[in-house]
Amino acid sequence: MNEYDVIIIGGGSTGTAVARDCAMRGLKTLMLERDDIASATVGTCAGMISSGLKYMEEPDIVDMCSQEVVYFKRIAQNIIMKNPILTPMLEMSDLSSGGNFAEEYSKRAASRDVPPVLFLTPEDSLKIEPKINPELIASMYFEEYFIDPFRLCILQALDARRRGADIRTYCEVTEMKKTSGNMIEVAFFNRLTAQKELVTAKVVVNAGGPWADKIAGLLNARLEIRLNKGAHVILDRRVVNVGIIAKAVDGRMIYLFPHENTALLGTTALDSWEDPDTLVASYDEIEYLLKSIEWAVPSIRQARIIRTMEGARPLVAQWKIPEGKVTRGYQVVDHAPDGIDGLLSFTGGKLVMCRHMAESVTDMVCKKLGKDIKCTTHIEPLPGNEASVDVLALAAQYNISRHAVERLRARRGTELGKVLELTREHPEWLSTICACEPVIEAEIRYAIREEFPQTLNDLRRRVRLGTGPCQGTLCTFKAAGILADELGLSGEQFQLEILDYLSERWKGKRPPMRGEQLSQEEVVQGIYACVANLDRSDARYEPKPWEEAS
Amino acid sequence: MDIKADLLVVGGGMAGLVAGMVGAEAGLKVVVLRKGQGATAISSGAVDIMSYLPGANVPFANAIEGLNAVSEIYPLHPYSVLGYSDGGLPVDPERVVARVSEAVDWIKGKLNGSPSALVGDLGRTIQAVTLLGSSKPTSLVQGTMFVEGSDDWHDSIVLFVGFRGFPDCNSSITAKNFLASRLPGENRPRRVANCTLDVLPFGQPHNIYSFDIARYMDREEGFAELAKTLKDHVRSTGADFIAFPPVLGLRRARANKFELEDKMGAKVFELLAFPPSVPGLRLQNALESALSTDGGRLLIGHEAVSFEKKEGHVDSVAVKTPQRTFNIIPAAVVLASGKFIGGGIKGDESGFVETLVKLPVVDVESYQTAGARPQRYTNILALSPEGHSLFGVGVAFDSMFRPTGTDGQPVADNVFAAGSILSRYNYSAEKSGLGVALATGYAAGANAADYVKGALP
Repeated sequence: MNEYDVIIIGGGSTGTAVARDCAMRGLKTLMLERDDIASATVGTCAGMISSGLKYMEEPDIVDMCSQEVVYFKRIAQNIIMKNPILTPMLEMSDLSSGGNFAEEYSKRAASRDVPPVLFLTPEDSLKIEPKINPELIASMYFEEYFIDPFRLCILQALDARRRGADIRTYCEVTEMKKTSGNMIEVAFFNRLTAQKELVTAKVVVNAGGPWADKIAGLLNARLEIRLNKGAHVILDRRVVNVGIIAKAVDGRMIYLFPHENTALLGTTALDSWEDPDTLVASYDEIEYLLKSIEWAVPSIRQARIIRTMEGARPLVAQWKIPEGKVTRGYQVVDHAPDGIDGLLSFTGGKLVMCRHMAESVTDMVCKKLGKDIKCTTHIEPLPGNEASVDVLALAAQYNISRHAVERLRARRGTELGKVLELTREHPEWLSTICACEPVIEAEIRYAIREEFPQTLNDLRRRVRLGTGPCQGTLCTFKAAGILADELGLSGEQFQLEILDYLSERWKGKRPPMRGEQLSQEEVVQGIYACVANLDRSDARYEPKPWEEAS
Repeated sequence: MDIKADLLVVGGGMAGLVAGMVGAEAGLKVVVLRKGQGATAISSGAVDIMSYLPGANVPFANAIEGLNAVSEIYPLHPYSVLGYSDGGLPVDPERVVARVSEAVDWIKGKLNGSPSALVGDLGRTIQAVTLLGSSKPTSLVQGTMFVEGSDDWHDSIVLFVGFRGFPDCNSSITAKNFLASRLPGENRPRRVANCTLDVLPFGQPHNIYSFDIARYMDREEGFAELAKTLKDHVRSTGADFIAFPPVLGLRRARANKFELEDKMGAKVFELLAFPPSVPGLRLQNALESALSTDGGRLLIGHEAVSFEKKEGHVDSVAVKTPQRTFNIIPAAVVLASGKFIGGGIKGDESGFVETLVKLPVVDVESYQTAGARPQRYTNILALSPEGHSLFGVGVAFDSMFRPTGTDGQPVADNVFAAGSILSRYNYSAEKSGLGVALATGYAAGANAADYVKGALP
């Protein structure tokens, strides 16, 4: 039986960060993820690595978030981007709340390389963003950083792996027990081999996110989380030049951010007792967001909605206060006082804190192991983020569009050279497979070989395949063919990949289905049902959790 | 500048062009408006008649069985309406089959000699092979997509062709899936093989599109080059059949197929296409030139934007191009503007509406859709034999294919409708799209001609 120093359960932003930290400190590390890297909560977030100003009532957290942004600028320069944000103020009462915020934000601005908050006249505001409501009184301008959450998690996992950690996806922990030698034995089911495997470790870190309570429950440890669900509406392009933050129908703040080649409108926050695997955005959530942003951006309904996404936040279990009052900090629960020594669980936290969370839990892990090794995750860059990239030169050198190279850079930084290198022997791999993003065949091949995807959905997380306006209409079958080549899939598995991917896209496309999206969907049905006849496929398709739930 | 026309057809896909041709054949002065390229031009280029009952996994034995079943089960289906006598129920299934059969024979005649000449009939299902290697039961395919013996692959060797830098067709997985989709013993080929040809229409081996190869194949040098490259693969695999992605040419596709068969000593056929579709455009082009042969006038890039109606009669339709707006004064109108792709129907949070005349839209079961969100007409499964009833919404219509209002009465005495703008059938689940477009275009065109001549009962 394999013995580890530490086993991390969960491959989201926290789990991958912990795996990276543990590996960097030389611990014998195993990370177990039930599905794929970043396949749950973090995959449904907007990617904002917020300076924390939304949490002004918690100044320690604002300090921590601001400092983490500085670290991300150092370790993740190629996968972060800075977005200007406007907060249009439409009523006098909006003005009063701005001052305090501006002061707190500006205090920490210089270290993050952003200007202090500016108050703009309506004329200046409209120059920056003509789509905002011209009736505004003034606006507040500031800048925040964003990160590609999928790439962050993948790179953390890859970095951990390169430093010796075992990263196992599609491995679901099914049982845990204390052994006589004060170790924890972890049994998991490997879905790729359909085998049960056993491993042991001195310490187990529970980074299960919305499932953290269930994971703790396997050792009869008590853990409470306050599950809170949130929806985003995704628009087909960058409908605004800059991010917009505005007050929602109920006085909460919501946002419309340009994000990659789309725009994200979010988010809702609803206490939830649903199974996180079955979450789908509701019509109420969609209309709440549209109605709310309509005051700030009156033309929003003219934009084409391509999909929604719904995720579950595992908040710290503070009750009888509104969701907005629950701490945005995190807690590491050491279950030792309950008699379960060696199990550490997370609740709460935000994307921007994932490195910090990893550092503090790894400190605790080291202490339990009797080791004293310093954290360096804030110093050493993630793979591909050691230097900047000359996009124009590479585009000319490899005879490929600058747009395609720039998108490659934003995902892989300096490691994009390895992708382009493949096209020397295979110039046909310069072909664009997903035209919306765009993604070239070489990147898909590279990702399949180096980044352990098992499905087309995993590939989507690695290369943003099928995330644009056509939502995989024209790339699904092409990418499935490439996956089949690389992984040696059978004809049936090839069909199942297509069915699986279409089903996952449909989960998000269906709730807001309207307008121009109807003709897009008519093309999808035309290709995959009418012509390919996959609506009558004999392949043994397993319904997805959200499909079973209805 | 106003234009007078006996028959104005709004929409230049299968339904509209067929209606226009029928009108022109009857001696009418016909104008067909086509805004852009619609669903016909991006279709696979095969004409489905009626392959499945929605919800059923097993296809009909042939289209005749399908039409009989529809007549029995869905008396309001556009096909069933063809079987009404004296304007109403019951449906006479034999009449349905006879009228669809008449339209099929007619269109085969129209397209005869064109690059998209059709093969097949209602009595026989063709199991066409798709770009993914899956099979799809249909009734009519273009001659280039057909080989005798394709219903029995027994003991044969099938070679799937791909092109380097043409990512739409991965001949390796297509071959694998083709084999996997066939049970051992039953029509199963002895062996499949695949090859990747190196042809460079533009000198670069990447981002090659189906139309690049098709245009290359339309040139003699291109075809000769390809034939030379292919020969070795045919020889080394001993192929009996050669499955091509749908790129055999836009103009010379038929000649290319027969010449290749001759040179290779093997049967050649094209797979069913996805958009952008060479066979789809071939079909579109052939229909357009048939309309012009019949004396009909096609206005491309022209969109009908509004209309004037007096006393239940549409007497003027405003038409817009990027340069100008003018009126067409029609004696009769056929609405064949399609569903969502064509732009005939649109839907949002406030419900569905027909876009030109603002006709009410009903669902497959004839319920009004005003105020209903599109999501309501979707299934939780992306793909299923039931499909999404979303693709069955459209305008209601009477036995003459005149669109009707909420009172069930025709909205105008001189307006007819054809193709996917019609409700009460789900073409995607049935696999009946171009078939219904053909049969209803044929009927609506004839009804409109009768109306103009004062002969409509």
